[in-house]
Amino acid sequence: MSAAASAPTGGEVLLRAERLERRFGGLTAISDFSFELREGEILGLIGPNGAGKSTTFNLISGFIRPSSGRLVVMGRDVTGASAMTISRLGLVRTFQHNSLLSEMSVIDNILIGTYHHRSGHERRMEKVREVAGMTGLTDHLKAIAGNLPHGLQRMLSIAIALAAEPRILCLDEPLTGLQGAEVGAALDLFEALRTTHGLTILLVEHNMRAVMRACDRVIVLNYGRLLAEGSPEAVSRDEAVIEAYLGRGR
Amino acid sequence: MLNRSSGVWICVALAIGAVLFALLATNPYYTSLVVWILTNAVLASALRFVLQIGELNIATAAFFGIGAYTAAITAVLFGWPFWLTLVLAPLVAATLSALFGWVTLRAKGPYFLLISFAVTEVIRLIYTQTNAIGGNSGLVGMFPPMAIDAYYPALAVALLAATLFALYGVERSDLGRMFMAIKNNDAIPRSVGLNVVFLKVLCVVIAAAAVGLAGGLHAYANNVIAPADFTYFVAILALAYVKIGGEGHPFGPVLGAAVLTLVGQWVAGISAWENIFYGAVIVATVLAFPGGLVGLATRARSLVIRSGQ
Amino acid sequence: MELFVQLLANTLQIGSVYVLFALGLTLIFGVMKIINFAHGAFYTAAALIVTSVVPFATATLGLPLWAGYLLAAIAAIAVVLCLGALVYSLGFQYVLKDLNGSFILSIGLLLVLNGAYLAIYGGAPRSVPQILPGTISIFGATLTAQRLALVIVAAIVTGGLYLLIERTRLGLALRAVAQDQEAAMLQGMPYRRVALYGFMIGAGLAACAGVLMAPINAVTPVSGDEFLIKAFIIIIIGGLGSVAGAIVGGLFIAVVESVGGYFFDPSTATLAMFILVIVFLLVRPQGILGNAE
Repeated sequence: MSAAASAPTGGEVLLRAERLERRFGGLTAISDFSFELREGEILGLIGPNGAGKSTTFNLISGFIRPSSGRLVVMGRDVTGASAMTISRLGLVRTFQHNSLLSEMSVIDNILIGTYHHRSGHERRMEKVREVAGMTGLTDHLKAIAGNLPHGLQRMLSIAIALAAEPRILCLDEPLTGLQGAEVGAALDLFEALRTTHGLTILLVEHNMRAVMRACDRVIVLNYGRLLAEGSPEAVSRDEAVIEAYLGRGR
Repeated sequence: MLNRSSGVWICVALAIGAVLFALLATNPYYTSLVVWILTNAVLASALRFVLQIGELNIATAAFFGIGAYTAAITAVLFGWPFWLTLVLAPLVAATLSALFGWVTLRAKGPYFLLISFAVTEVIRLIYTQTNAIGGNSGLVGMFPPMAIDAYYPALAVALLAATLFALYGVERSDLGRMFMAIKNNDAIPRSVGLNVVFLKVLCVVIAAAAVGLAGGLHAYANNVIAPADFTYFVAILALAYVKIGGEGHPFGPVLGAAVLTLVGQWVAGISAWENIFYGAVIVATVLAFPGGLVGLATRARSLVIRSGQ
Repeated sequence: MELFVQLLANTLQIGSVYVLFALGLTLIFGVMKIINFAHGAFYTAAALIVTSVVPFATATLGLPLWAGYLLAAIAAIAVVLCLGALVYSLGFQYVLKDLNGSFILSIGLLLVLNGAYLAIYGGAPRSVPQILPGTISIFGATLTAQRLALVIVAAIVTGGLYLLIERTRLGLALRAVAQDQEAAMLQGMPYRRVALYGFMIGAGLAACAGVLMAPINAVTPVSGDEFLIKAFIIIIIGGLGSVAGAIVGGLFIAVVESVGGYFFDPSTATLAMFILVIVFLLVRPQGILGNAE
């Protein structure tokens, strides 16, 4: 397996997937997929459309259960555990689509993220203001989420996750539809989250240049299986990866 | 609708007015009508309360019945004191609704609607099949204690109005915000560690406690109850109150219940046309005024303000 | 053996009407994602029309009974199809896929229609003379010719519907829309028209049930509503929107009712049915043949 080739940077293993498999009826979306996420890293998860990235996200966040395999978060076996359990352990995800509470205000959106671990309205509002400041939403707190411009909606979905005080932040295509300057700002935010807030980030993204710039390490999925793993440079030169992307005509 | 706190004060004034009316009016027809309006308002508000999580709970009718039967059984068959039976009514309804919610809230949307419908019918059938509680003819003889008999309508109105304010209070609280989030997009609360299933059950339980109390009060107000009083149609009417009053505002169901109950007194007894009237009002509301009466009032008000400028 | 055949015959009699009724309900749900509470009103309309056209045709036009009944059946189905189209275009097309909105709309419609039937026909039960007199004996079990005919016609209609769904372009469109409306629209399916046809077919099936039952059971302005609750149970068991599920579920409920009704009493059978549904939902919330989301 190519996993042996790469030596991840040091740091405790926060998330370990062991031979994950998920079948939908007769279709196998993910099979024999193992990877580790280590404290303090930004790990990129890439692959052609339909490679199983979303399924992987749903599996590690507890939104769907694996057909077989094992999932360990923060040293605890959470195979088959609920989304609530996994989130409370500190692994919080965002969504690619329908990523916010579109009919509710920005404040209410972020507040929802604070409920399970903060009590008292004032302490929750403190968190809301802090997170809104980090994501550039301070001036939009009263707006209805669904009316925000697209870029701010993406930021809000990250803000909701941050309000839940995660240790691992899993971002599902957070840059989709962002304009040039917004992409840069988002990448700066990810870096700041890692360095000043000690977050570990798993990033699913289509924008290859952003992945190359932001990530320490990249894993590549193809047809639901691990295709390659390594530094961004190594992966981008990998024959099999190039073949997978070009071979699909995308 | 005005601003929020003045709206609440107007409602408090209305509630006090209703209590005073029930206390002072001498014609029993009018006092029982006020109790009936408030009972319907609680039923409609409880139905809307569960609509906060996006589910249409027909079993609202069943929990109303459970409250009524609890009060009636403990009072008539066991001879327990009045206050105890009134406390038990919402408690038993809430407990059974927790079981109901835990089982049925795995399903949602059309499935939940149909199951809640089936449960309502099951419970009604159980009443009719159980001779110990009067079978088809139900139970008779729930009377408030002599000492408070004269004040009972006022007491009932006060408790029902308090229930309405309590439901409103929960809706405005953090819990209400979580309910709204579940309806809007339940993946988000799940992703940040909230126990969505528990919250949904809790929502159903709170609503059931409210209608359970209303059911207990109804048993004493009416002195007689029968299985036929607690068919799914109770929930259907409550839904009509919600839709006609306006689903978007907490006052909507109260207004809808008041208007339709009063109009119902007027059209009652002209059989076929009563149905046609209710039906036509419902159809017209859904198609032409989706915001109900409250929505209409809001629109009218904004028109007035605009033309005044 | 005799008991077995008798129970089987009872099951088929009850089941064939349930299947027709539930098929319409599930078809309408599949295509429009609405629960039509007024479905029973289509059944009632057809049955009531039969009760007024048959006497008219035999007494005034002097037709033989069977011809009068045939004429009544055609008239009833035609009127119900028009009623379905009318109700769809005045109301349901504005609340497609809005579960709560369409539900309350259908309740309003049910009240209006039931009120209208009551105003026109009055509340007294109405009946039609026996069309096919006599009884038939199979393996020692007896059943009336009329009920046997009911089973056969219902089976033919169900088979016809199955062919329509599986073999025709309209059936393909109905299935596509039921499965994924947006994808179907992207493929160029005219959703609103498909929904209208689906709704009319559903109404037509209820009308068939009403026409078939009119000579067997007395008709009142609320006859159709008695089937509604059972039809709800059937489509929960079969899976909302599943045609095969409605058939299986309808027969299953008929078995429970006829066997349970024979060994216990009818209310116990109904109670058992409800409890079965609740247990069923615990195990398989999406129904026998429904797909998990």
